[in-house]
Amino acid sequence: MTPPWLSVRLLPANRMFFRVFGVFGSLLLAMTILYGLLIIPLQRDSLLKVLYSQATTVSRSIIQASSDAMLTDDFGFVVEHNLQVLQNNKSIQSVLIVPRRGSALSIATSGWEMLQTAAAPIKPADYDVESYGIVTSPEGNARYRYITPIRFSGVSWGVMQIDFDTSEYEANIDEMYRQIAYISLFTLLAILPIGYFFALWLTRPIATISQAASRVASGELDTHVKIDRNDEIGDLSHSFNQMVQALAENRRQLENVNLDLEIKVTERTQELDELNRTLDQRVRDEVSKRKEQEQLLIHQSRLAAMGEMIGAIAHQWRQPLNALSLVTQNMQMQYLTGQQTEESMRALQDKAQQLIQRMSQTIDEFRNFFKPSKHSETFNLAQAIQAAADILEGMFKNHNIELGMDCPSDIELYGIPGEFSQVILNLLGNARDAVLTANQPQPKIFIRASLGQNQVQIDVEDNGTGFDPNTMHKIFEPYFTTKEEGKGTGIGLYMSKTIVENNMHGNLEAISMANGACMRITLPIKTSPVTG
Amino acid sequence: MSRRFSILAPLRIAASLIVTLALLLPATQATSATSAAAEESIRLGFYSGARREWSRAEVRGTFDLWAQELARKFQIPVRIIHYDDTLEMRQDFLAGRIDGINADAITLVRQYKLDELAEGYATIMKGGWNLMLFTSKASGVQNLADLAGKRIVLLEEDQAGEMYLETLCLRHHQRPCREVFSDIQRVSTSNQALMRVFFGKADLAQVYGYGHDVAVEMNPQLGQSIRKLAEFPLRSLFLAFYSTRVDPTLRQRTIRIMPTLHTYPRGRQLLDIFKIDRLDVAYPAELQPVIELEREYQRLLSQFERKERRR
Repeated sequence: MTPPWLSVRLLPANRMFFRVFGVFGSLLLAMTILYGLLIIPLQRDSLLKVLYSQATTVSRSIIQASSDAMLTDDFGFVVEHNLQVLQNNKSIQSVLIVPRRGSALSIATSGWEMLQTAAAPIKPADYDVESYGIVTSPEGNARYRYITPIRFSGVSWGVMQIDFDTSEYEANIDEMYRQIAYISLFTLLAILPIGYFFALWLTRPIATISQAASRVASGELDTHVKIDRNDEIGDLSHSFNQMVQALAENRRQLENVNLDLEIKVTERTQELDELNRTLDQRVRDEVSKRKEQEQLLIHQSRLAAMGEMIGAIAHQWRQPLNALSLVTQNMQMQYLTGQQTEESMRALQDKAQQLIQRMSQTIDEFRNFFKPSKHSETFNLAQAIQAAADILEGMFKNHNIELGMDCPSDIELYGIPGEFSQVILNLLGNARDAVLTANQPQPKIFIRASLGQNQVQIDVEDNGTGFDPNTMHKIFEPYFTTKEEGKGTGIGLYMSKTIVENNMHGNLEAISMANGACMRITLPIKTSPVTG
Repeated sequence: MSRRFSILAPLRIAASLIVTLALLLPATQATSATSAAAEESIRLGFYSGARREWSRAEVRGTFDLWAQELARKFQIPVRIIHYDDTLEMRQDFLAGRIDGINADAITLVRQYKLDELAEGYATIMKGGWNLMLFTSKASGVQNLADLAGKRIVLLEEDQAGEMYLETLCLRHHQRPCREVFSDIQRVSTSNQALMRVFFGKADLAQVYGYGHDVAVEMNPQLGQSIRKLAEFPLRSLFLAFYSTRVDPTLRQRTIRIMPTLHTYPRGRQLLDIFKIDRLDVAYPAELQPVIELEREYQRLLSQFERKERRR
């Protein structure tokens, strides 16, 4: 069996570990380098300030000690003193004293010499200017040079130049670089273990949770994460465990539900199998029922049409019947009063014959109108509308309904004229009922036809009751009616919509108006058989 | 103004101490024949000179420390006895309380007989101890007869130099220097003395050979601006000698070992501090030129004093 410590991998194979490790290390290294970059110039300035301070101190000391000798031209003492200074201060490389009068003295540890002032490197223009800084000789040797005016009681005596050895300065700089290098190296070395353990500490629990999540994702809902930490990661592992438990519970419940569903599906499948076995018979039964319903509808529609026709005939016959009644009354009156003559009898008989003829003609007209025509043909829209209007003319007059019509006479449509007329008749009949129900003092019905692009629009408007918004969506359903019982069959609009949309490939829609309703028929302009 | 110190005083002490140590070290390698050494340690007299300055104390301390270190190396205790009074040191020497002495050549010549002294060591300097009298080429001095009225620079506390210059003055001008020169200045180093000549503050300077070499090495311009007028040969100004009572075997060991002091790192370090080149064997007979100079000086001085009395 593999010991537990062997299962711990030295380098965790997760990207987050390397990222954290890399970021941690880079950050530390960057901070170290940044520290170095910031501290080096400061330290360099600080060292230069130290050199400057040393230079000013040494120069003041020399000038103070040599002041009497300088003023009395005791250059021997000046040289001796400076040699002592050079011996005692190894950081001073040389001293150059240039008096305004006389020769310059160049003093170094190895010796001294007297120079002509003109040969001295300091020019008279620089006698009164203090200057300092690192200078490099043509041989490449660096030194710190400090030049200061020599004044006694405010009078310029000359100038002094002191060159300091920069080896200590350079050693300090080198030491600083070395220290920074050591720190960087130490940081690098420290990064490895510290960064390793830090990254491990940070990422191992996350990796554990991630691996556990993968196992959970693959279905191992018995996965449990053991991370004993009192922080967010500990909370996360706790929540993770709770989540997995909840998932397991849900899964169990789901399995139960699935089991139930499977049972139900099996049952339903059995039922469906049973249903499939009887489906053909059911379809045949449904089709048969449908046909019966359609026949019934057709029959009912026909009855309704018959009713309409009878009503219309009744209205058409009312006037000639009255006239015929008057004829017979006149015949009776002439007979009783003795005024009846053969001539008057013939006149009355002719009158009665005309009335009967008219009534007969009415019947013919109605019969022709309602004669079921099964053949599509091109017909004139205005004539078809007018024919329907004529049927109801008498009824409209009887109820003082004003029927207006605005229909271009040159619009030709293709279809079954009888069916279309039946649609118009149906819409006019509904409009009539609506205006009568509304008890309009001036009931009006207006038929307006207009020609659009490749279509014609026919509006049948009335100022009747309008549509009830609650039932408007149902008006085209069969057997739906808002009329009083016995007055409506609920078939008219259904049949009209069926004729317009199925047979004529148009559209029939109901539109509410401010004062009434509008039934709009939209038909394509076709003068030849419709395809498709 | 900074303090000016005589280079001769510490040099004398240093040289004396070193030669004292030179006497001491071989003794540590053999059983001393003297009673003092047999009892506890080698005891050496050391004349510090008349002046008492801090630098002298520092030199003493340094030498005591080095004496201990070097003695420890040779595993025998050493005791250095410092004297400010040459007569006291002389009495201890005669009484056998010290086994050896060191002092400047004048002191040795004036207070010790040559037959009382056995061989010892001398401090050898690069450039030598010869006394030299230099003049500026611009001073117009061509020879020793031209010294009258000139300004001269001498070294402080330089008995040998003073005696030599007085001898020259008495010899060539029949009067002491104070009456020959218009101005006699004293400085602490040969370099200072020669620089005063170089910068025109004096016409002549009397320095030791090593001092001249150092000054010229420091500034060759200086060497080109001066001319040597006179020179007194002196092998070493500071010497150390055993008492003749010290076992000759021990003295022979000294002769073999001490010239190699500068080859020991610590010994070299010690010599370098005081810019001493090396130690070398010295014999009492080497004091003979100084003895003769002393005699001539005394003779000329007596002549001058007689003349003065007659006047």
